[in-house]
Amino acid sequence: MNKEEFLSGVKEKLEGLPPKELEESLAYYREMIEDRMEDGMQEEEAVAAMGSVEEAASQILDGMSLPKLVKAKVKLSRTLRAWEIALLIAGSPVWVPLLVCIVLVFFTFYVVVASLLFTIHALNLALAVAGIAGIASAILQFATNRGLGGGLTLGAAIFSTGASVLLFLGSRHVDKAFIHLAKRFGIWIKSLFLRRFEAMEQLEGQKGTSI
Amino acid sequence: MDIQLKRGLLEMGVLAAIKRKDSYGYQIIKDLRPYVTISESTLYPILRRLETADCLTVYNIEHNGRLRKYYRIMPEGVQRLKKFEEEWKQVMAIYDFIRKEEQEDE
Repeated sequence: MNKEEFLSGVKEKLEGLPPKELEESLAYYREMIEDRMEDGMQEEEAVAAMGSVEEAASQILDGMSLPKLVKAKVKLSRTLRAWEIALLIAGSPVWVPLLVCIVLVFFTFYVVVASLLFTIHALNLALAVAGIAGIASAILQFATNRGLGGGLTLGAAIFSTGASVLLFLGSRHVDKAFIHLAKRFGIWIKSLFLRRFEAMEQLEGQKGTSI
Repeated sequence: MDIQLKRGLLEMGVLAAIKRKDSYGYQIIKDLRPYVTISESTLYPILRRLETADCLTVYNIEHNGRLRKYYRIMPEGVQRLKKFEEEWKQVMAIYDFIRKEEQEDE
């Protein structure tokens, strides 16, 4: 593959990007190939050192922030045809509530999980407080010569404290799992945009070649 | 190696490569080569991120009838390198401890 073939290959893969962004990426690879050739490499060799066209394209996308990706995607959808826009508007009574619904479902899921966590922590705190109060009360009862009551209270207090410690250890794992899940969800959202972006590009590319 | 960690390390490597003297893409790759292999495709997003974070600035210089991009480190970049060195001391201390424990196990 020669230099121009490589560059036009990358360009084709990133057709939907803002022109400035695209130009900058291509200028970078052009400079890199030319510098290698100046260093004594053959053109083909220098191009081969760049890796595959796909890798170059995906790294360029990777370096872009999510807002930029979304903007680029919006730009792509601006080339919609009139009937597509009409269809979107006509369909809005269906897809707008649907979208709102999906967002709400995710939000609800988060709230439910978060409140579950809150409940666990509240229970944990209650057990700890009950344990400490119980021990204090037991000491008081022992001091006032009510040994039987004191013993019972002490037993309950130790049980409560133990349960709270166990719950605390367990709840840390649950917390971690929740944070992990939230992170994964964020990454998933970003990948959704990336994937859709790539799919749109392929679509655009096919349109380009068929005409 | 963990991708995030490697990314961060490469960012520091690139900053160090342009710290003493402004440099260009291929020169950065050549300077780093004895220590770490970094491909053109890996370098590109790193340069972009550092530029967005105001760690470096870019300018063009004409070279053999074409433009070549030069990268200059900014105060923010120098700051990050300094912070990295400080933090890395802690990492090395933990590393020494791990090595010591493992040697005692043997």
